[in-house]
Amino acid sequence: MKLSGLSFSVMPPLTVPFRYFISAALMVMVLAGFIFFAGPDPWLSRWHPAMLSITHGFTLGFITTVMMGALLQLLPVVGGVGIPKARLVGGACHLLHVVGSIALMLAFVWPAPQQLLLMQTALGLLLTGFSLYLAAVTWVLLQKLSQGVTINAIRLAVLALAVTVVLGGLLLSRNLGADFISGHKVYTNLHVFAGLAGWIAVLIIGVSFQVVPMFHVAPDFPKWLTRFFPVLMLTLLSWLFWRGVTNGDSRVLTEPVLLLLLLNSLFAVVLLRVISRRKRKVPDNTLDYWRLSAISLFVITGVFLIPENYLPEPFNGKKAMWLTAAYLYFYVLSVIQGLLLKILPFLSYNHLQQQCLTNFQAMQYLPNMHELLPKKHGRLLFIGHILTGISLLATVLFPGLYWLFALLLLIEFSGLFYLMIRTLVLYLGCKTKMAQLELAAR
Amino acid sequence: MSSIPDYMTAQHRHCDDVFSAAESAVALGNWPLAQREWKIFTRELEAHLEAEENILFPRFEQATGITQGPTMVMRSEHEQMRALVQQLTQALEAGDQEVYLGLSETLMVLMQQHNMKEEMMLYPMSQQHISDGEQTLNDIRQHCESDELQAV
Repeated sequence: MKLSGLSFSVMPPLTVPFRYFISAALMVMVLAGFIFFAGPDPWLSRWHPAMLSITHGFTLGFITTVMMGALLQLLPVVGGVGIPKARLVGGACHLLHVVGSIALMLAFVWPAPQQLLLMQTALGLLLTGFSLYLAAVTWVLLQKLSQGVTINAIRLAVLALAVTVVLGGLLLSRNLGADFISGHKVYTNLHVFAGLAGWIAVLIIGVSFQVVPMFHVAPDFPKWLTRFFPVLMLTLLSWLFWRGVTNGDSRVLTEPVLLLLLLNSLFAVVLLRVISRRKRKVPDNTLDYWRLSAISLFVITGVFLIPENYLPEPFNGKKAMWLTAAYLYFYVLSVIQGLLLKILPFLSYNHLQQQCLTNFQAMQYLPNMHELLPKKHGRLLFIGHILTGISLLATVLFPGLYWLFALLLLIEFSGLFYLMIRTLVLYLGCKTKMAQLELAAR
Repeated sequence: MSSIPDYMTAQHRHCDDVFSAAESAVALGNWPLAQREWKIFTRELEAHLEAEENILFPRFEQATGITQGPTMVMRSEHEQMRALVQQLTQALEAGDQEVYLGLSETLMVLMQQHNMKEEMMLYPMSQQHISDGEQTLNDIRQHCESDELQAV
């Protein structure tokens, strides 16, 4: 263990993760407007250009943006090492990612000839942004770090992100005339599964190993799970890729997808068990989000298992879209929102507390966690999230309800945006008071 | 418990347990139970902090020559914890559930990230660099256990 340069304060400035979080919420608010004006047509098929904008709005615009920001914050906490020049690199990656994501969402729906320019812009910005981000994060992950199981899961999730980005880039390149891969839809599906089951699910699982015991004083996840689970997920994903590429047919993906869902459900069972054995018994919104996400996984797997002839016809045609919507909204977004409710005050408190280390008097201005983010606000967000999710699942089946989904989505994410800004304003106010106190003491 | 990291980490977990018991009791409005658990927590936390400040940290500093590094940060965080513990004791005496739960969430966060730093870096480094680790572990154990006996 190296002693030179030992530091406990490797955390990036608060502005680095917060800019990712705030812009992610803003992107969904804009997306809600887009859904409202796009009308019912996008909900007819997952291949509808406007639906491609919507799905990328959620996956790239919100989920990936939050996860990128959270990872920059998480690495120094769980690994003890942060990315080099966090403010500069984190800021550059953020700008490239956000502008690139917006360009991509517009590119799907904008008419020619500007569409081509938008696609080129999106490809250039996203590939540059992701390359820089992946290089910075990989530099950290290649070092010898503590907290093995979470770091190992992050390593695998980042690998899956790289695969998702490369496939996405190749698919987009086809629209620009560079046919590196065939136009078969199996490649789009592989891109989707690398993102959903690799990057997103493996990261969520890896992070849960760390944060569930920490925030809720719960027992550690069992060793057999933490050691083998992420590797097993990646192995299944590799099998899915191998089947897809060698057969060139999306139908052969059914078995690996089922196994991935069953594996995720197993994680959900263990998660619920760990939560039930927690020592902190105070009511907690984040816990409710975890429970909701676990139960959603059971429902999704159950519906996936129901044979098509047992399902009503209108549902049958929309089954894949409905399951994907449920997975994204009730599993992934639930986890992310729940964690944000903990991370926002936790980070703000941590940064303010660092300032108190050199000036003990400043502690009088240190707000408590519930002042930084009131529990009642978190509860309202949770209720809003459930209502919006239900309206989304209804809209997939009855596209005429698109306006309701758009409205509830706007309300929910305006609420999340408000909570972020409120926490940030409180943080900045306390920081200023602490700085003034330090000046007066000199 | 054959090593410094093992023993100290187990103490952290034990403190978490008692802390959570007090917090849960407050959440349920069971003030007598909360008082009892809180007393145990404050006593055991103080014994743990003292063991670090008076036994472990000085020996770490002597072994590594680092006095302005992690131990300084840890001492400062101990003071913050003590300040929060005082505020929590006041909230408990006043029977103010809302203030107590807001502060307990805060102390929990502070403790968890403090513990993580110690468990990830300081304890393994102490085990590695303090030449007579076994003696140090015995001294810490003796300090904490004699404190428990006094309380009984």
